[in-house]
Amino acid sequence: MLLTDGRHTGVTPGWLWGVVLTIGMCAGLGGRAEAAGLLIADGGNGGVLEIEEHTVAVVINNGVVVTTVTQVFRNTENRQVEALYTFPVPKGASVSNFSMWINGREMVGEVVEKARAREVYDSYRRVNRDPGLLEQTSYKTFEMRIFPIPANALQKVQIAYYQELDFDHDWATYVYPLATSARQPADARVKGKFGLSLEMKSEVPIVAVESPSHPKEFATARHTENYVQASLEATGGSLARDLVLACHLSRPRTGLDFVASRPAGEDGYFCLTLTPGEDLEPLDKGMDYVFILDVSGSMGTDGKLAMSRTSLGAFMKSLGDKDRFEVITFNLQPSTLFGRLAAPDAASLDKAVRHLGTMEARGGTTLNPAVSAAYRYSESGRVLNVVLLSDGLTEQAERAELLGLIRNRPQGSRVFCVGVGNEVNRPLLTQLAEDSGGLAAFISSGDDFERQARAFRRKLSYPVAANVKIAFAEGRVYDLAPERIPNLYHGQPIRLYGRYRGSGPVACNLSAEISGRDFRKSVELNLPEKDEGNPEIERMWAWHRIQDLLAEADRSGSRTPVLDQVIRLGEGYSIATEYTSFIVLENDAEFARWKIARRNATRLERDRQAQERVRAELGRLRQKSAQQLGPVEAAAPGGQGPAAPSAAAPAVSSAPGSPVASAPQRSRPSRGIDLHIGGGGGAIDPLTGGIALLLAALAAGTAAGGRRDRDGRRG
Amino acid sequence: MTETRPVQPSSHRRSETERAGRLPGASLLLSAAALAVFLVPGAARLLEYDRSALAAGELWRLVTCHWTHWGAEHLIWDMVVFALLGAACEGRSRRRLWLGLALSALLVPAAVWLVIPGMERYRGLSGLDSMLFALLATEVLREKLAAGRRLWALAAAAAALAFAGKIAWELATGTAVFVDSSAAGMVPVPLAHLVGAACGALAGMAPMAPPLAQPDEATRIHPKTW
Repeated sequence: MLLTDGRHTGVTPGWLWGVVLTIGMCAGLGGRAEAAGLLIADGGNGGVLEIEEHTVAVVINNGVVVTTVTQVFRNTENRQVEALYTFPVPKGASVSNFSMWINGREMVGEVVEKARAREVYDSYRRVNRDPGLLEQTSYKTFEMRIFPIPANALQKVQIAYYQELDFDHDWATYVYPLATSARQPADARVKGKFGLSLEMKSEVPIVAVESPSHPKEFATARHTENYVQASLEATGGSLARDLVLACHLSRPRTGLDFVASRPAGEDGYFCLTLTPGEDLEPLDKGMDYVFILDVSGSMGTDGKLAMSRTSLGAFMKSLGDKDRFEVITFNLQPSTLFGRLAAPDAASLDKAVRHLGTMEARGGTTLNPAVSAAYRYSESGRVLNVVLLSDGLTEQAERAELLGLIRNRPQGSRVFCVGVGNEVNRPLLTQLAEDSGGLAAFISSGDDFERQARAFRRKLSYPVAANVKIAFAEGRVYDLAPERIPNLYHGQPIRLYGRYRGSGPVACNLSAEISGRDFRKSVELNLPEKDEGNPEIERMWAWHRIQDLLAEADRSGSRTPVLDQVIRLGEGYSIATEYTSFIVLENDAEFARWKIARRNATRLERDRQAQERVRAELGRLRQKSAQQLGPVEAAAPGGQGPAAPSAAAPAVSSAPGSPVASAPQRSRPSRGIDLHIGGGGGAIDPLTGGIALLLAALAAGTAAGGRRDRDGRRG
Repeated sequence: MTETRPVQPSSHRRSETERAGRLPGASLLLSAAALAVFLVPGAARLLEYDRSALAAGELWRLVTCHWTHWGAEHLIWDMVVFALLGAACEGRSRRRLWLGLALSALLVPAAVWLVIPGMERYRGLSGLDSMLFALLATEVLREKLAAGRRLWALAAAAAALAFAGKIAWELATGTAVFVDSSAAGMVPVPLAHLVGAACGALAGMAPMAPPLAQPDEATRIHPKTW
């Protein structure tokens, strides 16, 4: 970890700033992943600087999330301090920008090759001029140092990171992580303003938005079925709980959604989302479940064990009559509950819940024996689902053995990993799940566990599309990421990023195996000549390419062949990786002196312009929506009223499960293509039904009239 | 002196109208079957039109596929319309009803097999509902024209034309009218409605010998007439 030495010579007028931003070294940091970004006065007597203001702007564009966190800290001590800035990297996030305000001016960092960044940094240190440096050494937390912060002075910083939205069934969940173990009572509250605003646009219709973690604090508005807003604003707010926002999306049929970005004069980028719809039928066969619960010492922090108990309880309750289950707890060695697969009747569930209640987190984590024990429950003719609830903080040495164990699993078994808490070894759990054809899910303290459990169970009980392959004709599409497409599960979309040349229609051929049947479909996509509305896609493509390159290199045993490409992508798209670092210099002249191109500054400027355009577009939608409000259409308090389908329903969010606005008639996404996996059928609509009923009434009426006539004649 | 009585309607005509007051057992039973198939887990999978399974010899699916549905939304209207139109048709002529059912039950999946080879699976009663609609409209139209009741005939013709227009729209656009078939998670198959309606019209117009009248009080020849 790089640290500034804290010296300050006053070479430049005003302040000299020392910033070291370092990604924390995985578990070795002992779970020191402070959330929300903290400035801790380092050296001397230490102490935590107050958070004067903390605002979070979240823009979600078709599943790609850009979170921009702006924080203002105050040094409350009567001395100049060097501050250690810590910030968590949320799961699967890629830090794309760091800015700090020096003399009232925003200085944007640039990404350069790691060794070079270190060279630049060291040269400044030698003359006691401290540049900023951000280095990634793992996937978790990053840290930086700011020097000097004068007595009672304010310091403003801004961080932006990209990530993909988590999908579970039809629910897309956004988590702003706040709950961690390292937080001290002193910094659990913001002294001044705390606010989070979220804007989401989606090609897949949005049915509702709600906050399971802060249902009373969030205000939500669904302006159209493709655009929602949510915001939370408080003074002196608590930062002790994760902020969770859940959006209910609905894609009735399994299909593809296509979003593109194409800056002028460049090849284009696209994101193709394959979403399973409601047309996949549930499998009605019973399955076996072995739940493996991690009760090692690391699960004792952040309420991870309690979260696991609640989730597991909810999951067990959702089991079907034909299912069977077993619970294995493990730390250094595994321990089984029943010693057999038990039916999920009341007695077994009660026993399991009581058993879990007695568990305490202690000891180390040795996962292999627990997984081996779970495999022994495999029976031919039944699917065995091994569900692992853990933070994944297993011994590094065990990892290779574990991956081997997953690869050599019994036939008909899958491993599903549920990562618990914010400090979770996401890469390991994801890899374990993917290698076994299973899934990884991640739960946070603010989540609705029952909903998560139901969604997870649905995934297991619906047919999976395996061996998914997507190919494009004519060779105009290239550099797809990820190269290995995972299995498609119910409610869990697959995103495929890529680049393209030229423009116009291109054939996209999709093949998969669904419930033992081959499925093939060819659809036509339109590659746009120009599209500047979705620049987020570009960085996500580059980030996925980097992950792909590194993963493939790891499988082959050496990263050397791919390093040049990783560095080029990191520098080109301003992505901090293990081989590229962010560096912040005092001014543009210093960047020029080091011949560091201002790529990030340029890209950031372009992104901000694009975001402005999107905001303007969204503003028009809001205005249009607001114009439809009136005495007749006005929503009832709480947003539960006879609002017109497209009318805004600005309201305080109701309890989880109660959408803030009712679903309007669904329309086709603008660039969505249905795959027609489910099959065909005729539909009698209400109007036809009504005509049919009239006809039946007419027939019955004339028949009755005839009888009356005859009866009359008889009489 | 011979006792005179008013002229009675023909035995054929009487038997049909009298039957209208009876419980339409067949229609209700067949509607209930659709509900039962929906409720019994796994039944729909065994009975649906599945091209691969049909190719493998599971021919019962040709007939049973109509009683399977993709979801409750899909089932409800299909079932309600089948019950009511079926009851109306059953009250007029059971023989025509069975003829229409037999024709459409076989020809709808046959048409799907021949015309839409890419369709792996098919479910729904709406093909048979279309048959019932066309059958009933044809019967009412024929009856009212024969009885010279032009207004009723016009109403029946208008209903038939509206239905034909709906099918034409569906065929032209590939989407269902006034219904979000995607909500039921399925692909609309207007061909099934077209074939069903054709079967219904055919059954309604087919020349059919009058059924044997049941001996009852109204039709029995009074001894005094001897």
